[in-house]
Amino acid sequence: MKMEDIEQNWVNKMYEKLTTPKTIKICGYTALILFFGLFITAIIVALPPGPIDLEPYTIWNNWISDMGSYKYTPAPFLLDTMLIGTGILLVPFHLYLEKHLAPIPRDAGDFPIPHRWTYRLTELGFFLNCLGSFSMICVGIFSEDRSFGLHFPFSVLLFGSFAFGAIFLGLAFMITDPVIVPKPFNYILGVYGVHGLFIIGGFAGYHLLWGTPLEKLMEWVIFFALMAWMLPISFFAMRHAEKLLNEK
Amino acid sequence: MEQKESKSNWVNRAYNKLTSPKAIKFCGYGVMIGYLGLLIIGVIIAATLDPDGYTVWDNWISDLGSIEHTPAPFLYDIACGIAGILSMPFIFYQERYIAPIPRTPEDLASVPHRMVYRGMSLAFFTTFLGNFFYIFVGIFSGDRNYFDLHMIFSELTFGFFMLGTLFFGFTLLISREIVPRPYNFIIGPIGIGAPLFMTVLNLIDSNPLREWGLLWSIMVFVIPVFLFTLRHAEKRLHSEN
Repeated sequence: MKMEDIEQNWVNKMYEKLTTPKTIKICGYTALILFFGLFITAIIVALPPGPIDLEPYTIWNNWISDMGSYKYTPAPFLLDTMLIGTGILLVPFHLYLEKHLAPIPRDAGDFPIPHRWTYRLTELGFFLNCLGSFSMICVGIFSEDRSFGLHFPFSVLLFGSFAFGAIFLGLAFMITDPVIVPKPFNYILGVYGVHGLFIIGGFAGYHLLWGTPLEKLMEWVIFFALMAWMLPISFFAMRHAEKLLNEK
Repeated sequence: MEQKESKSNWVNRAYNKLTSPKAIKFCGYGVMIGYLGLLIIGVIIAATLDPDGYTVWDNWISDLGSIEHTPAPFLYDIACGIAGILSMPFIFYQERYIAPIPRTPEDLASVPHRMVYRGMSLAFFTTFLGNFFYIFVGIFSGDRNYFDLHMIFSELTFGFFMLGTLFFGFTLLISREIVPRPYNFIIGPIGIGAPLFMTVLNLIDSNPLREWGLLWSIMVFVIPVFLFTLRHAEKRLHSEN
């Protein structure tokens, strides 16, 4: 592929638009409002006894997905909308992280460039995160009420992709120049991404696989563990975008 | 990492040695003679000396590594080890030239599109794991199937090889390095489609012939890519001399 072709084609133009600091800022704030706003509202709405299930919604008695079913809440569309919306809004973040962690040099000013391991790890993390976002959208589309047998596999893929993505990105954060996540936070986040999620995921996975009485709570634990990984990265990415905007 | 450091550290020196055209030539011929040779000999011996008769439609590939079906199960075990170990430098070599990391401004002309880096990184990782697990298929052969490890490693090997050919096939479609045009447009789709199709067939209902079919579908992609890589290494060797 020639350089001129790359610069002119519409895919590249769209990529450039999607990864501008302005887009990241807009997507970041929208995702935060959408995610927390709808998620908290969905929990509050689900808390009173549901129309069919007369038990109140609790994190130790209910799966996260139960918030997407009429059986447990009168407003399942809140969780579905949150999942679909956040899944879409996270895509520019993955692209932005990839672009700045593993930049493709185009002129002499881009030197020095990172080690090959940075490219390997970042691209793997990017792919898994994109798969996670895609699964997130699909979990929202194929909610508990519209499962068609797809809700469970996409839920597993969602957690699995983000957790494995964290291992690769965590390693990339530790070995790359601290472009997006500054020192010493890159080491803290990196170690958490590589080990923390693995340990928590393994511990919670045990309960989920063997179906212990704690399995539902453990799904929430994995969810909170992922939040503790993704939220700081989103904030650091937004901070980086803000800095780039101010430089302009 | 500083450039000087990166040049002088032993990991980098080992990487440069492993991906030298000479090493690739050595490993290439080693795999072709060692793996393909031992696999073919293993099948011939099993087919002629197995009391039940060994056929690809009645026997799993792993039966080649079991004393119940062949008097020489070690042939297949060794073949797995050879293929797993000697194929590794190939992945490093392919990654190095298909998705090169420029070190000087002069290298910028050869920098490919980001999609090539994405595809190649995924292909590198999955193929590397596929090769790594293949060694264990030989170690925990049909006769040494402790804790069902043979089954686990076989599934991991096939799974990662399938993903590897999928990502590699995709990368070949958008890159002209190593596999030149128009061959990349023929080999690329084979890598994307054939192993994936055979994997789906095996997931629906697995039988010995389908398992052999999966191996062949991987080979139909891997062998031509292997030969093109050898050709590339040979060319580099001539230009170095």
